[in-house]
Amino acid sequence: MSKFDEKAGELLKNAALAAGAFEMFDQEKTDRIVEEVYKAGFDARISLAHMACEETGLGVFEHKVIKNVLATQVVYEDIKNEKTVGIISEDEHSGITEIAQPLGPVLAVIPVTNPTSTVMFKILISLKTRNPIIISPSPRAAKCCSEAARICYEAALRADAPEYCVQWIEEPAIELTQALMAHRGVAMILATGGPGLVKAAYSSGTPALGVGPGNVPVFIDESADIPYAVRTIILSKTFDNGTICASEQAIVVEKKIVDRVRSEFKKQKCYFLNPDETAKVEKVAVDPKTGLMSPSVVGQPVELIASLAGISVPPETKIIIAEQEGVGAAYPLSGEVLAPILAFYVRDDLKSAIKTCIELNYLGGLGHTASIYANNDERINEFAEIMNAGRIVVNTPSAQGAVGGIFNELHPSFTLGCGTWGKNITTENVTAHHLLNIKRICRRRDNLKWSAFPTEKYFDESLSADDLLMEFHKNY
Amino acid sequence: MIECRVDKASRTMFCHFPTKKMDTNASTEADKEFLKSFNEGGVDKIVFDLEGVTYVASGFLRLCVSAAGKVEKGKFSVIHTDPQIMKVYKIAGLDSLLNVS
Repeated sequence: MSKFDEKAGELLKNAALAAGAFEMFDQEKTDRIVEEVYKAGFDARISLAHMACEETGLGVFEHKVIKNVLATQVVYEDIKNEKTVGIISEDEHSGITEIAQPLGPVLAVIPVTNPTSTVMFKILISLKTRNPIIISPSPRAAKCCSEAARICYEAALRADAPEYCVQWIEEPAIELTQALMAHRGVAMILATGGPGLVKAAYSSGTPALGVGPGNVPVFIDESADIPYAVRTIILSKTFDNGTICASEQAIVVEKKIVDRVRSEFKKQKCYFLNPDETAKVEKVAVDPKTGLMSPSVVGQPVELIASLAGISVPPETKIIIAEQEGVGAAYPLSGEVLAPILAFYVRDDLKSAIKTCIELNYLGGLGHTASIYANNDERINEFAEIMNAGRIVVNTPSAQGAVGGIFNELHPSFTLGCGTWGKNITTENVTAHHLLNIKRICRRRDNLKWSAFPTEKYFDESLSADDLLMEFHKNY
Repeated sequence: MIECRVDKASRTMFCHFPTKKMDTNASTEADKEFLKSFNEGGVDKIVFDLEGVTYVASGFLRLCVSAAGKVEKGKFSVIHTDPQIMKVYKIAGLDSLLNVS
């Protein structure tokens, strides 16, 4: 047995103790713990944001604070009244009673892009459902994640939560994460991270709720309020320097409005790269070997990206925009880059524009998020119908919109399901109710049609389906 | 229904589909007509122009695959697809093979 197997065994032994103790907790006691944890996490929002910025070197401090607020206050408001213990619903008419049970120990894999916020979010939804949780952070965010977990754990203990209800790995190692993923004591993996990690979670044999990569196309329709659309896109794409996987990646517009869109982006301090500059940015933003975004630009400000690329941009540039002809490997910036860089497509007509959005969607963002700016319901529905995305955000900053809780009524979440398109099992924003085993008491309620039907008729081959159906529904 | 014409200079066969709904029956008929035209010879490249086509049945996808098999790789293409039709090719995993645009 390797030292990693031993460590995994120890963590799971402790988690099992906590899971056992949690069985005795009622809703009130559970909710008290969640409230205490949320408050502690919320109170630490600023110090944790500092730590996350310093340790990871990614993003924007103020935005990390907002993410921590989202992960604590907004998530708490969303789940606080949810029934998660014992009987959660009873329907006298159907005779079905639903009883919530915990899953058991949850392994939470945490990405470097949203570290402390994802830790607190996952702890809150796990404790709300009486599941012990083990935090496995990205090695690049181990300290801030450990601190976030420690703060939450101590708060939980103050509210009489079971010992070991929150555990964390201070020195992450791939081998340990793998050992934990495959350990039979883990009930569920909450896998937020890159495609490799999510695949590892799904391949481990343990049930997993994962995420898929995003490649968010934004269609600006001719009916859109263009200055508003541009302002909102900038608000979203610059949020934490673009680290949210639901942030906009490519703008698609029809030729007839392109001048207005382009001039609005310029007016609002975005910079359109020329072909030479685009080639330079491509080289630093995308790894030519893998075709995936380069870690050196993820979550970085425009000035730094420009300097890495050896180009100069006007002062206070918010986003750099690269006009693209096509989608695919020959156009590196048509893929996902979590940085303030946008691809920009101009198409002759509506059909071509929508087809480009489909191409972008299929390039690497299937199931994630698509965005549209329009003031035409028919157009919005047409777009939504055709895009394979778990979330189609309308006239909304896609980063914050997809995460939910602020600009819409989606459950606030840091784990955005992408359905089978993204190799996930749900298209929903993952939240507390995904961490429950729900049992159903099924009291007898006879199907009266079945009771009245002479079932011997099923053995008469001369009777057709229509004959039997008529008999089945007779007198109803 | 299918209308095929061959551009002798480029040895390209252009096919249009005035029947906007390429259901199973229309695809079967189109298949026969296509083969008749193709077998007259002189074709190295095939272009299916789907301008105006709003529905394709699996029989039509089959026709595309079979037509693509009659020319060298990369010499068959489907153009002017409606977005919804393009998605059908994508879901079927045929968009690259058939050069759908």
